[in-house]
Amino acid sequence: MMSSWPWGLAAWVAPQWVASLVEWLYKYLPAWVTNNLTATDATTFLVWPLIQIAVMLVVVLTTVAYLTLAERKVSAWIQVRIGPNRTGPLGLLQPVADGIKLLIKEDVIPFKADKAVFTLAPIISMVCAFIVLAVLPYGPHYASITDINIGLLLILSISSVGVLGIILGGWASNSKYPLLGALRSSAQMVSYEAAIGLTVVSALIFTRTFSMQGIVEAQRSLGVWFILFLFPSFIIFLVSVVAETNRAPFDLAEAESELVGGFHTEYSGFRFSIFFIAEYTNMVVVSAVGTTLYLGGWYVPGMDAIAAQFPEAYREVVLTLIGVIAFAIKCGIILYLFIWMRWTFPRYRYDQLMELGWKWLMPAALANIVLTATAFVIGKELGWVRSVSGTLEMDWQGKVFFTVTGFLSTFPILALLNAINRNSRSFNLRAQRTTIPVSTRKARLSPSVKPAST
Amino acid sequence: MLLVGWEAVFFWILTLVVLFAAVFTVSARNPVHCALFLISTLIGMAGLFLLLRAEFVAGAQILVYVGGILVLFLFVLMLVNTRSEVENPFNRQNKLGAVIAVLVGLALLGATTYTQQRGSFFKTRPSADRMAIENARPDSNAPAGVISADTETLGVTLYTRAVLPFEIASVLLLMAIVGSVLLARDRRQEEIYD
Amino acid sequence: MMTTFLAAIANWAAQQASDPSFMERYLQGLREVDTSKFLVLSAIIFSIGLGGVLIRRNIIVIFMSIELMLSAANLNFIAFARYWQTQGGLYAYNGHVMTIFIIVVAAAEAALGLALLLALYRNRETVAADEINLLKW
Repeated sequence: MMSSWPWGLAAWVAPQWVASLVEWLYKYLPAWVTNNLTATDATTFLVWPLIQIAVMLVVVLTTVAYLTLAERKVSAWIQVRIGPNRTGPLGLLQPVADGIKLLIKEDVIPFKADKAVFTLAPIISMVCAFIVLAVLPYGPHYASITDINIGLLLILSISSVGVLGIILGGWASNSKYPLLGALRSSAQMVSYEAAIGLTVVSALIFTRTFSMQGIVEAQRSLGVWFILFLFPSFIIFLVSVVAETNRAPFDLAEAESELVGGFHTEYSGFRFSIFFIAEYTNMVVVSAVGTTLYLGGWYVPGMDAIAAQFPEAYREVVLTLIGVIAFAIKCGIILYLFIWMRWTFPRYRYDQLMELGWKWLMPAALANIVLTATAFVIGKELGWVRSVSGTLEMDWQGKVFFTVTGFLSTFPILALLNAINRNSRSFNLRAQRTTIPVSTRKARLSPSVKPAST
Repeated sequence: MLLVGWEAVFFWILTLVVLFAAVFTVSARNPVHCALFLISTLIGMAGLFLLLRAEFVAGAQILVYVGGILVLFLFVLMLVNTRSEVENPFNRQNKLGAVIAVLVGLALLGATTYTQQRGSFFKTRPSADRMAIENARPDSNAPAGVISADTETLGVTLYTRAVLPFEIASVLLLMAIVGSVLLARDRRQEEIYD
Repeated sequence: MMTTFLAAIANWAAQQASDPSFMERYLQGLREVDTSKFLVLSAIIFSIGLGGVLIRRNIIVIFMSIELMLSAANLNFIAFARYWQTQGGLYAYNGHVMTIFIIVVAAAEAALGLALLLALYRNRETVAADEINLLKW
């Protein structure tokens, strides 16, 4: 199709080329290396993953840098103004300018702060945000660095460890406001992690594996995206990850008008940029997890049909290209939702935020697990879902059934939330009105002041 | 079970990490530093669990222990704010305590090495039929990178053979939640609820 | 008595070092990691944690040492679970199940213990174990 040299070149840039290069290099290596490490082992476990990691880091770091620019531009467009457009064409060199500015700032450590922990806290945040990037499924075949069979559990665990960076950053600053901001931020993150964990369980009922590529393969074998079966779960997940990454409207603990800056008040220069990169990488990671679980990861429904039109040798490369581009577009959609939500909703007060996490989202996630599992068992009994050698098989009646139950399960969830929160103070003004005692309904004026209307 | 090759290398690296972090946990002056070293110890032990093919337990240890329990420890450390530069971290019985700990450690080491079959700490000479059993099952000796059904089997076991402890554990956690909320109230909150 | 004990240890060490195949066996022991190494590691960590409980003044650090001891027990259980996996798989997941329950119990104990500690701190303004001595004679 068309001319064959670009596709030949693309097929050349494949793991086989790296393997043959390593084998050629092995003729020049000393004996103690070649006796303990075979050429294929070195390629599979050392050289090829390093190339993948290098490519992935470059791509993700550029994404994170330009995400800051995208946020400023999109927020500007929402507010009917133009964002940065002076540094470079269309403001495209703005992240470079920001990076240089932060790098050349003076490094200030507060008085009597614990220097070791002060240095360590942003490093913990950033490292935990970056470890997760190794298990994300960017595409089929060789476009993901590794596929662990507890991939999703690892992502949840490492996100929990990332909370520690915030606590330590606030504590090590030896100052009141960062400490309070850190405690509030971390309490919020821990609360919403419970909701995320429970929501993800209801998605695991269909995927039956924790491995990220396995989740995408499950959606590919069924031919659907799980957002159809699990729509309330997606909504809960979306709200929870916005709260988990401390983004607006849940950014009380770090907004400038509230607590000066929260846990990163005393951090300046390069250390602040490390926290910043960690926060935006967390955003990228949770949107990647959301696309994998709900939006189908790298799978688009017509993928195999498109790849079948190419000759045999290039099919893998074409599938990988389509997969990576699809994954990037879906992540971009969710990241755009993040930025959009920041400038659309007013900020939540802290007690409203904690109430939302514990009294609204966590019961909803639990109810969602129960309802999804019930629907699954009913589907199994009726024969619309079969488990064949570990994978699920579903005919069209099963898909329609699960879609319908997915959408209908919002009603019992909402009924449960209503029952739990009926008399809650913040969300129910009618309940608030009846608790005000009668004597204060009419204000008592002092005798010298005449009321306006007699 | 025999770990050879790269798994042995990772075992020794993780052992060194865990031992150093454990020693610094009990001997650091600042309690926040102790918490940080405990985090290193627990993550090192999660790595050891991964070598032992216990993937779900490794993930659960990081998620629950490091991400939950140690975060709770750090919260309480910040609320309790001790002036650790002034006071002595060790109590008056520290020498006696160290001696007792060393003696108990030696006793445990003696018990573990004495019960091995015809070997000591430096010699590994497993008996011939044991090696025959291990060689007859090549798939159970596959390296740790092979995908296994650990989580699924563990889930099935928890819900079929270990269902009673599972339910008791859930009641225990409920009791812990209610109890800790009740115990940590201060006087003003108690007056509101009384 | 101490000197005779030390002399016996020195004698054993000299005897082992003069054996030419000692290094070989030592290196072979390093290269093959058996269940016994995990048990020895678990015993060492347990005793370090025990030392921490007995030595430290700060109650929170005592709690952390208790967590260290529980972790050592976890490692022991998992090492044996792996051993049983290679021996026919009969008790293969008992260790994993026990470890999950130890983690659950450690979480419950940490929550309740720290709540008690907060209540104690409000009354006594200290978290050093040897300053909470009202009931002493």
